[in-house]
Amino acid sequence: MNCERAQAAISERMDGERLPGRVAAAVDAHAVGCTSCRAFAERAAELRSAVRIRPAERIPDLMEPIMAQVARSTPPGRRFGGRPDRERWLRPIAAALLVGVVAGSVIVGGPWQSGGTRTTATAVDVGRGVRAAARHVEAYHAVFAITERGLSIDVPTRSLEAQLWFSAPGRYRLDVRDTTSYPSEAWTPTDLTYVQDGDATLRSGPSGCPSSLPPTRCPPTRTVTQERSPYAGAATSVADLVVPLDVLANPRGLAVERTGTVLGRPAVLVRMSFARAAPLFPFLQLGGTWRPFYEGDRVELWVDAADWSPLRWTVYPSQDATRAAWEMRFGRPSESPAIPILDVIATQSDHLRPTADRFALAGAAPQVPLDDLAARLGFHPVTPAATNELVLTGAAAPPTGRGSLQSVLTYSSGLTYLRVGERHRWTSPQPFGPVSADAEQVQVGEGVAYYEPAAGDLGRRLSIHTSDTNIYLETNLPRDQLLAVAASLPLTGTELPVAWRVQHGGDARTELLTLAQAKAGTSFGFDVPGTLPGGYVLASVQRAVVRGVQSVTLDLRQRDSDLGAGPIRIHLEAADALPPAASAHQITVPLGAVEARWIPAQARLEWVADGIYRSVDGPGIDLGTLAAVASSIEASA
Amino acid sequence: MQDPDPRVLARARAGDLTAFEDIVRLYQADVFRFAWHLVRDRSTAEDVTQEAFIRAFRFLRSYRGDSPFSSWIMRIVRNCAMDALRRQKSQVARHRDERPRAGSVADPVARAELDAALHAITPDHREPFLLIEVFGLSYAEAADVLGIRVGTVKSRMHRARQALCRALADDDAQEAR
Repeated sequence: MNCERAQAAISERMDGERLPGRVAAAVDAHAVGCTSCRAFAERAAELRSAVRIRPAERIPDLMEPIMAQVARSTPPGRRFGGRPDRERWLRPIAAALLVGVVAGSVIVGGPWQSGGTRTTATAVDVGRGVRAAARHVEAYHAVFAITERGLSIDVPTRSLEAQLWFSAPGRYRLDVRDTTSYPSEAWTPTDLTYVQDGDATLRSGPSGCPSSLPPTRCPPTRTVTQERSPYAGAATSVADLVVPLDVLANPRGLAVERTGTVLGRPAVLVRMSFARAAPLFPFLQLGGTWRPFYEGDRVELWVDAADWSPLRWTVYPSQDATRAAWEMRFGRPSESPAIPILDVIATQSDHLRPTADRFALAGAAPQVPLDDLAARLGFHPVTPAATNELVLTGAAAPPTGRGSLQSVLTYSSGLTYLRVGERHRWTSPQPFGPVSADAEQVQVGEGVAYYEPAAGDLGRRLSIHTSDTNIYLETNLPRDQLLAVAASLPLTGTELPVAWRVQHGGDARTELLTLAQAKAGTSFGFDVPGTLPGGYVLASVQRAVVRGVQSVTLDLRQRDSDLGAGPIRIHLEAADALPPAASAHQITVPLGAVEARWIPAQARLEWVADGIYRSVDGPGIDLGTLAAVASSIEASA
Repeated sequence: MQDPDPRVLARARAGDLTAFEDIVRLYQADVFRFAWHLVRDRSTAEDVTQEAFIRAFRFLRSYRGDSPFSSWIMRIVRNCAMDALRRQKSQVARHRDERPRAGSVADPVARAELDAALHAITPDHREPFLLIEVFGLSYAEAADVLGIRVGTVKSRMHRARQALCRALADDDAQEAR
């Protein structure tokens, strides 16, 4: 094979042509030893990024003259739909934009005029927009071009293509095809597949490679996982590629920068941290080899202002000084904050419903009519009277593995879902469903329930215990709407049994208490810190006695979502000195009259004063914020 | 480029102006951009865009759906652009090397270089490159727009890529000096 033929084949492959196996192998073999062909492939990929990712040009709004001429050229008997006027054809856009998100750009000349730099949108407006869009999207298909920089010296840039399909309710497919020209066959392309059909999921991809190993040393094995979860769990894992509901519904940690035009569409630019934007990168979790990202890296997301689909999102290295420490720890070169390290751009999209065979998956739990479900279970599952306009789209009785029976009802509208699980027999000493023992106790109607914010693959969750049954709710509705749905259930939740709240083991005894109960029976004074980052509330208080030494732990959680920053945990215990250092890397931080020790690896600030050891852990929260929390604790002590 | 919702298309074919507005809204930016690349003059590109949509509405009933709507409308844009260029030739010869005015341009230098490179290659090579790389058409769809065989599109696309890669590499080399 000569260079001319090899480059022609590389060009065809870039355009999605499937080369015969022999030709593909010959091209790859040739490219390994040919600097000219490798340079061509790299240049062509850069060219693609340059033409596809370049900023929008100023596009004139020609709607009015076009429609005026069209109307003139149409015999009155043939046309219907009324005479077009400017106001009316702006209406669909304005309606879709909701609450005037890009009203500013419409007023100054229409969203098509691009370059609109006036921002009238707020993060709250964007949140409302995505929530409304998520309810109405019935089907979606998109193709994304992904460009990753900095995987290794041998492979500085990679190009991948992702294809996404969604069909309501609850069917998703994401295929990722790695189109990178690798220096040798020792590299395993990151080709991935994720399929979800209701409660069944399939993930297939190359086994991940530990970052300590060069990618060429990793065996090219594939991992295929097929599983069933009666709880939504993975249901949210690729949904943000349709409408970034998890990322944008909660305004905390978002900055709306401006409006403009991307790919010819009116769009809104939102900035956030990489940790906050995690649901936009589900492919990083599906296997294969990817470069690492620092949680504080900057993400710029352009979201379509009409249908709220993500159009383009780009990760830039953070300028934060702690990133340098992260780079050193992972042995990575220093990276410029001006050069993107990951670009994802939607090159095509439509709302046509994909065929069902896209999502064909063996093992999905059979759906049964609600009445048959009752006969099968031996009890009528409780149903909420208010479902926030979501409709029942599934009823199943998945096996529990322990012989007892449970029901899972799914209500949905577009991407928005609510699952109601119920099991009569539940003896584990913790709330029913994937809700942890230290969940926040909340008031629901006349009773109580246990609430956890959205985290990772799980939505907002609520567990309700009564003497007869146990209920689990999971949703991507906002917290207040979830509580309203729970309040409409025909039951009243009780506190968890004492036996579940108190645990014994050896010389240790731990118990979950209310704040008042904990304060009353503890030998030292404490309270909820006077200073907390916005959105945090006290979730739970746990008191432990280990070999006669009392300690108290306060868990503070965000109300809506753990995205971007997890719980803040405050621990207090009688002690005269700090424990041995948990990490070699530590910094001394003044807190009023005392000095605290900061351990970045654990995101922990700890100090001893007046015979009490205190620590504040806050993964994902910066030192300045944690120091303010710690200072308010110390000031009130 | 996405195709319109078939229901919208059917309504537009039946003469529903609101449905046709949806189609104009969907394609206006791409149509203008393609027109501008073909005629290289902003006001002519605006005329071509308007003319293309008016022709599209007039001939919508003859669109039978045997090729994607996006390639059908791009074929109309191309015909309108060719007509406009012919008209210009017959008038006083003029050549304006105008670029669309930048709205929010992150890197105007890089964009100017790319535009210059794009217009240094021949129209025969530029058209398939734009249709495939910028507007996302397949080889078959681009062949349909341009009225040439798929094999010809493949080879022209490859030649365009080679020429552009060379031009951009030369720019980099000059910058490095």
